Amino acid sequence: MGDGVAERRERFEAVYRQLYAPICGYALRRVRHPEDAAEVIAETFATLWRRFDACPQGGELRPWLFGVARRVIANQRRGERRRSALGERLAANTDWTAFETARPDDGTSTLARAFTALKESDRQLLSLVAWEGLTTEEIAVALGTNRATVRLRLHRARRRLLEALDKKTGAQGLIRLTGGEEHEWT
Amino acid sequence: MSGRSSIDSLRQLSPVSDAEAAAVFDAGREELLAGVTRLPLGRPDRRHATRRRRPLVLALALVVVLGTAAAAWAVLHGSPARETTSVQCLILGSDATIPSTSGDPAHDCAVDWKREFGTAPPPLAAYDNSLGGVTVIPRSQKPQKGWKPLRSQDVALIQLQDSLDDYINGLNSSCLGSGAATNLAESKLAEFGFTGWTVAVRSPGPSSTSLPTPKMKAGGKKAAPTQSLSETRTCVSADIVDPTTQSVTLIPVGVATGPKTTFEKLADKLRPLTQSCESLPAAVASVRAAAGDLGLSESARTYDLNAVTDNSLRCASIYETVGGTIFVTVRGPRA
Repeated sequence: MGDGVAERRERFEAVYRQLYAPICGYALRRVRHPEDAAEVIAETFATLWRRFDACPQGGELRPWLFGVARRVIANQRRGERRRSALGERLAANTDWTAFETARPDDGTSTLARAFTALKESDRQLLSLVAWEGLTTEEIAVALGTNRATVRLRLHRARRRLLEALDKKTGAQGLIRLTGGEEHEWT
Repeated sequence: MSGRSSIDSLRQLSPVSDAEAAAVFDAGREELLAGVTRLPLGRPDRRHATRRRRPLVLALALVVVLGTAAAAWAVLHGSPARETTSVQCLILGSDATIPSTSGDPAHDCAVDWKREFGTAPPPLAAYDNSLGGVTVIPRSQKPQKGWKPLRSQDVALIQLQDSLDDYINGLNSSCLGSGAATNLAESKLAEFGFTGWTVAVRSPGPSSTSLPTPKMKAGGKKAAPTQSLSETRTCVSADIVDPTTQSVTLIPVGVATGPKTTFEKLADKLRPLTQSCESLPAAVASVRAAAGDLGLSESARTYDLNAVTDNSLRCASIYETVGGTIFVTVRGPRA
């Protein structure tokens, strides 16, 4: 297998163990069914393995991998659903008790309804901040765009969320999102 | 919501935490790691090219053909790339990395291309891509700087890798402890002519960066049995074959007991076939029948069947490995 096979695998293992929980979280927060989430997780790490020598290293790796997961989910939603053997196996090992325990609430709060009413791209941005705790720079890596674009889109997304909240509650105010860096809501 | 809210407001909308999500998929964590690291290296599969793009690409390729003199190239032997078990096929805009099967990388890519697109590919040439891998491109295309022609990969190494990863009779055929897995690896090394190699079993547990222990020469003292976990079994089912250090590292993996998957069912069906002595055509037919019983189809790409003629064998061998899909490799005499 050439020079450094074992070393490559061990480096991969270290990354895998570090990012397994975040990727599981990313997938299960966005995909309703555990079977589909399992496919996302499996395909995301398969991509990481295949591209391991060419993918970003250090701090950029985590958001880059979120970007991979995002594209896998997008493909699923476009109907390019494909069951891989790895995903099937992971799904077969789903801990349903843990899933039931971790199930979300009904999402009927005012904020939840306002958030759900946003368009997908806005929810995606805001969730990267709030759920994954990414900074603007990291979001740029995850989405494959530049920081200025992210800033602009974030600004618009949070404005639309505030507008949605205003419609529902009449509330005015400042929501602060912090995730590595602070995002002021104005 | 009114006034100033903290990050917690939106964060609390998060359906599940990372830890909760990881718990849902915890039982399959080690198996997934083992499965992923068995995948061929390179770029993600499949096929960025489409049939619609092909006429344009073919036209461009023709320009390249007309503009490029065919260069004779020396056959390269002893390259590290030769001792790999996967190949990257870069053909007319399609980029796929596939497991090696025949030892002829260009042939393997041609078979894969035909399977994918239903037509014969252009004449292909294989190169050591100077990154430790093998890349196949159209013969008419100029290789990148530093690439060296490569005629073949080590067939014995491919067979060794297949036989270890095999779900029919290899490490993945049942839950093997360290001793049984070591025995298996040693027998496979001997079967395919690898002498002087070492077999090591990595210590079980999540600390993956520890060095493989204990280490022994092939045929030496066996390792201690693997530890058992309460909810998952620990099976030695992953391996690293490293020609550079002439070593096979066996890796214990936590495996949850669950319903059998399709590829495990297929392995169960194929196992009896490996006890008989069939020619390549007969074995291929038997594999197709068994796969068909499970609803698997080559045309639907629910599994890939590779048939390799090897008249030095008396009976056909059958290996089933799992990567992005199920790969069944049948190797045997034509008659």
